[in-house]
Amino acid sequence: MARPRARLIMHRPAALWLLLLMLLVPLTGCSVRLIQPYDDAIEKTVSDFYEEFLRFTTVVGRTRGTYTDNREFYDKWQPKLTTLTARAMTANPSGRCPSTETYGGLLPQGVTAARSAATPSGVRVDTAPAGDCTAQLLQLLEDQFDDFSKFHAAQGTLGLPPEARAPRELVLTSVRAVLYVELAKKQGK
Amino acid sequence: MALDADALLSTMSQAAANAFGQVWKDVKNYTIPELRKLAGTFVDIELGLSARPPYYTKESADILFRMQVRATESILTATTALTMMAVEKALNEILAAVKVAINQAVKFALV
Repeated sequence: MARPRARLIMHRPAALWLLLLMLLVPLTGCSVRLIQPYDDAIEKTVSDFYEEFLRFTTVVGRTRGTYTDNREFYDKWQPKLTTLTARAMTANPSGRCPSTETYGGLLPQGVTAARSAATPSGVRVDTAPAGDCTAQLLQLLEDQFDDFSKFHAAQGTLGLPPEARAPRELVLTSVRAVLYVELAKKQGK
Repeated sequence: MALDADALLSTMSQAAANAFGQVWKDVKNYTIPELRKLAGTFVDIELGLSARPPYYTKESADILFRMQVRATESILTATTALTMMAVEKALNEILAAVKVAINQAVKFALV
């Protein structure tokens, strides 16, 4: 009975080297890429959006402008953000962003369950984002801005009151997420 | 030249440690402050609904709760992306670190 075990131990270094070679051979001559590279168009468009969104919320907040009075802003930026998401999806169509359903157990019930819980009945629940991390971040920003427009419409004559910090901050959180990752790529972190 | 597994392991471990050290810095510099800002939005929604008169409608507050889930997703997805970048960097640095030793040992350009 001891013989097979002895043989196993004797061959372990060889097996380890074989495993190492199996891992290395497919990587021969190329570097590993798990996330799409820095994209100047993403940084520029999202930076422009950040600035214009800040200006928009400041001006509209001051005048308590309603959604109906400001549809032009949404009509300008919704297609731009949609295009950016499509661009990122096309750059890496089979890409995935691992562990974004439960974030390694941080959200035990999963993001889809959290979305359903936060969505009133009768309203469409976001599907799980597709694509790699960059595409998912852009999809989240696009959906966030879409909900901001719905929020603005739901406010009716209240518009965007100057004391309302949450809606602006929630959109800017999604904007900064995209920018932080894109700038980290640019700096080669 | 025979490969020294311990030396290779040390080189690979150092390359990985350098790469993953950046992730913790990013979590400290990006993720935690963002989560703190997010916490402030919960307070604002509560204030907006309880103010006299309220500055949020019931319907718009429902939308804000949904946006909070998504903002949290954005923060965690960015953190995941930063981790992926560190994994990518670690893999490439590990490969680069052992490239010369392995190619010399097998006597052809394997890596």
